Amino acid sequence: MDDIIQVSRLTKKFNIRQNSSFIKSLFSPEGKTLTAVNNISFKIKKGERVAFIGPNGAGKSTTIKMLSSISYPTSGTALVNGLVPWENRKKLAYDIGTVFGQRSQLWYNLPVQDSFFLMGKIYNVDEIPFKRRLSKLVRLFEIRDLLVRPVRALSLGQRMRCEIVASLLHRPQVLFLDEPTIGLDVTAKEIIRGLIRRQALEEDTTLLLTSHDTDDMEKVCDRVIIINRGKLIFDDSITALRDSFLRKKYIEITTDSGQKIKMVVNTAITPAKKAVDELIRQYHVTDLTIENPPMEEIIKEIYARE
Amino acid sequence: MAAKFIKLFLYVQKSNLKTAFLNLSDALVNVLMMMLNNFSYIFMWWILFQNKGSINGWNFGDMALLFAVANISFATYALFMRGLETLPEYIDSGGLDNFLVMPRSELMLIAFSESSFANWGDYLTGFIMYFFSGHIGWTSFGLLILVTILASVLLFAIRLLASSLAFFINDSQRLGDNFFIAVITFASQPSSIYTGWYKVISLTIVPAGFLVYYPVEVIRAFSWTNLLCLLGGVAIFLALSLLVWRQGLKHYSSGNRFGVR
Amino acid sequence: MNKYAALYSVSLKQAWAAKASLYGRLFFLFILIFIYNHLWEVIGAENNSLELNRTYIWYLLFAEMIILSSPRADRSLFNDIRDGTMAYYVGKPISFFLMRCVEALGSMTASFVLMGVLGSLATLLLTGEPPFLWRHFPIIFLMCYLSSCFNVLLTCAVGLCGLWLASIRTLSMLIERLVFTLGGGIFPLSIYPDWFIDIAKYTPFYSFYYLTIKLVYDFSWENLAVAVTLNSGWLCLIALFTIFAYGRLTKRINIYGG
Repeated sequence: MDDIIQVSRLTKKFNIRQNSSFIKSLFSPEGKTLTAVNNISFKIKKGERVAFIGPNGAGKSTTIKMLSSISYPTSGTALVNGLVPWENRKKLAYDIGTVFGQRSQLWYNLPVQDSFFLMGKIYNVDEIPFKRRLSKLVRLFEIRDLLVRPVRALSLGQRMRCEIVASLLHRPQVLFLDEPTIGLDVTAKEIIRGLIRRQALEEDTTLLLTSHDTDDMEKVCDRVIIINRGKLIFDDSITALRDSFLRKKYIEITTDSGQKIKMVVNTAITPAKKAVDELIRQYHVTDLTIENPPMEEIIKEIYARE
Repeated sequence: MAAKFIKLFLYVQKSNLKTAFLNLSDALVNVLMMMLNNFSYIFMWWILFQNKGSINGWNFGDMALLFAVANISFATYALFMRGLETLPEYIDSGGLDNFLVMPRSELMLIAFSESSFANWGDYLTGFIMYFFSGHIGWTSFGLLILVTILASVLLFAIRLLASSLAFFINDSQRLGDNFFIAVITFASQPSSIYTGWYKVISLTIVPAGFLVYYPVEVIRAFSWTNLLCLLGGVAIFLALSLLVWRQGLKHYSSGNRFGVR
Repeated sequence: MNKYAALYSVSLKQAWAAKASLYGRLFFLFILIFIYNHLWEVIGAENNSLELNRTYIWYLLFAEMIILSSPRADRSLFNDIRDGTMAYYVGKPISFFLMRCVEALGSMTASFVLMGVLGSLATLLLTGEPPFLWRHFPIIFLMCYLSSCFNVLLTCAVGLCGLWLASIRTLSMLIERLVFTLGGGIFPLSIYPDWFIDIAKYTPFYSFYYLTIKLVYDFSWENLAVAVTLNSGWLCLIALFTIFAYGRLTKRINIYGG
């Protein structure tokens, strides 16, 4: 099987300047060094959907930036679709798509379709293939009604769908998604996850998705890589992660008297259904949520087992 | 209460100065550039006065006095009240909340929150222009200090009015900025040209008259009437701006806009 | 090339859609015309020549169309460099700097045309017939539009200096002032003393602003030829500099990363 992404011993260090003075920094450019990504190696096969997970500041975005040719590593190497990203920027650009949750590539005041048209031009997509491509993506991401609306009039979730479509117009082999669900509410997150997964399955796109939300990976991906403080600490299938670390579920209920009750269930001992049934039997439940343990808990546990 | 304000004020200024002194050479270059910028504008007018002698009774000395008043009061504004320019952003983004929960007067905190060191160049420009005005003397210097303080209070009021628009109108940042710039532009011309309707405008919608005309008149040809006019104008605009600000706060519900391009 | 043409038309559309910004610039143009019309009226009345007023206000209109129609591309470029937005574009098949320039040109075009139409109307009402012949209008308009393009590129170049400077605020202000003085951005250079004009002649501001705008009240084919020649000469020089600077810039990103 071909590996579409190969990362080997990738390291990125940052110099943090002690003072911001331009003139001083000319003479003494040294400062503290921070290792954002520390000696990371992994391979991703074509069509794999990989979640790149870790708490804030773990080095996820830094890694994605290097793989999408935005920044240089300090040492180590990587191949994306057979190219070293930072040496073949323009060439690689046509093979990859990027969505950065906190940066918009759409034109704020114009109808969404104008931005799509422009992306098509920038990526040299011919008119007829472009139209075909667009109508397919419009169907996949259910944005037909949004096309003529100016971007400023979209909700954040709608906008994110359009951002993803904009990144897929040139039919990239690999799609990098950096925090695609950031800032979205629960329903909008659910919708985005479903759409991303459907598109990837249908077109066999290789996905690399970063998030600090464990639900993102469970709903979209098959494999998960966890990094913490720049180091790779876990790389296996979602099922493996689920079996060993996602056993605990956080259940929260609200009763009709407005009381809130939280409990942690270890599903290896008590199946979640049993716990919920028990709760419903005992209380008059008006609201119920079941959540995975937060990222920090999982990481703590990974370290605890080592 | 007053002591607390002075303390806070000194604290903000101290930290601003500290930042400037960390990059002292950069800061000084900026001050010099600011002065160069001012003098290039003044130069343009000097040329015009050289050509025409006087404009409606004003000679270049009078214009120099206007530059002194305008630069000194604007420096006071830019060094100590510039935070007001960011107010519309705070209102739109809900960032105003951070100020409202603080146990001091939010208005002063916002005003103090920004200060640009480069505008010390405006003070220098102003005092240099005063020496070229031909109205030098201890009394006139005392009057200069007095009128520039009043003018900077007026600048505070005008900017507060402009910024408070954000309470009532969406995306008003540009509108407010434009109003403020219009006042400054009106104030940067020889006041002697404003007669008739122009004078009415310069004392009402675009109160540049109180910003420079009356201050200059007070120094140029002191009379109690001129001083009272100046005081009255400043008081009215200050009261108006505070009123609008209060009304705005009542109107305010913290925003929830997302940052997009 | 095709992609830049598309970018130009999209940014023109965006500028047209962002009405608030358009009206803001228009408002300032009106304020200036209003004030300076009055100034020249007063001066004209004192010197018994109202003709002066008409000439100078039309001159001012075209000067301000060039200067005010330019978007604040320096600030946005500077911010893009500082907050790392620029880095996000190295992975796109488009040149970041050219992209920002073309965007700014599109945005400028929208306000330039709007200012041209509404500003001319306002000036016509305030002072009467323009000092040029209407059949020369397209040439003058085109020349001023090209100068406006130069103005936009200049702003972009200032923004690019953000790589070396901690703040570009003073630099952009300084350039603005040079445009106003050496370029005769408010008062035509003809009122300045000879020694000053001699200095100005050695700068691009002289031909791009003063000589070009002067066609408004002093049109002749000879003047036109001089302006065209000088402008194209300066353009080549400045383009070379910008390409050089941009080369240095991308190298720096390569070294320091995002």
